Amino acid sequence: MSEKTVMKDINRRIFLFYTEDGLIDLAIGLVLFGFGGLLFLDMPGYIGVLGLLAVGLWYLGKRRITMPRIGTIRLRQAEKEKLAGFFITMILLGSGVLATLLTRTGGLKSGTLPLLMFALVLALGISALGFILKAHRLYIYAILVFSALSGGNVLNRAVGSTDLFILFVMVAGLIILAAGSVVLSRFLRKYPKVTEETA
Amino acid sequence: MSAAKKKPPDFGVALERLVHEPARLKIMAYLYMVESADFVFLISRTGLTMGNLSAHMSKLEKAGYIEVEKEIKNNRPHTMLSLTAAGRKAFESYRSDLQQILGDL
Repeated sequence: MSEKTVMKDINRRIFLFYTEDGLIDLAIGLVLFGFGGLLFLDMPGYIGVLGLLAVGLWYLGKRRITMPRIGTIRLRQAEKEKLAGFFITMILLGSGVLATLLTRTGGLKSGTLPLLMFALVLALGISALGFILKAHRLYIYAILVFSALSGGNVLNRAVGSTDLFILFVMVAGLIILAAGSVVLSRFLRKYPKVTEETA
Repeated sequence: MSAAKKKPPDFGVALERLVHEPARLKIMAYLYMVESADFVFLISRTGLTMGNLSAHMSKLEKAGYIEVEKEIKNNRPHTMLSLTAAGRKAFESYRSDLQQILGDL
């Protein structure tokens, strides 16, 4: 292995801190499943609350599950800025498209384009997250999310009801939640709790 | 001439032994990529035992290559480690020496 590849591998292993525990999968799955649920209850405006809940659970999981097992790191300033910039861009872009979709175009009854745009932004966001955190399984989630949202919408318009779209979104969320649970249970088996006294 | 007296090949550059040792090299490589990492993170990533890590940590700290920050978190000892400027420079110089040795192979 060349010296550059070794450093790349070390960098990848550092970023495993963010993805090896499956908490990010669970957060994405929860948001998607919850989004479907909110659409079913006709309360899509609460997506922000759902996002905050997912971030809160992710943070709590990091502190209670991940850190006692694989420790903690502080990233370099450049990496911190890159991550912060990414999250701010994605939140602004996602909220903008979602707000346009929900307020100005009449929600799910609107044309296909805004919803496709939302699906694309969401899928690109998940892919970019996978790229930044070096977690390639997130690319699969991005494809799944895009397929569920766009496919559901096409079928939805063909049938003339929003139920299929909601079902597709919830099933995609459930699949990601199940994958996250598998990753988390592997992580728990691989890393027992360690303290500096017991290490 | 006996085999024991044979000199090792001269590559034109000398690798710093303190950094060259595999376990210390791993510790320094991980710390080079982050601002700081705690003891448990280095144990989980390098596969070293606590005793081993402590021993290498002491050597690197004595050489002025790493900074060790001990604190009590939730009534438990918590140690954060980071590379000093000298440690960062030593690691970079080790990398360039290694590249110089292996570059032409």
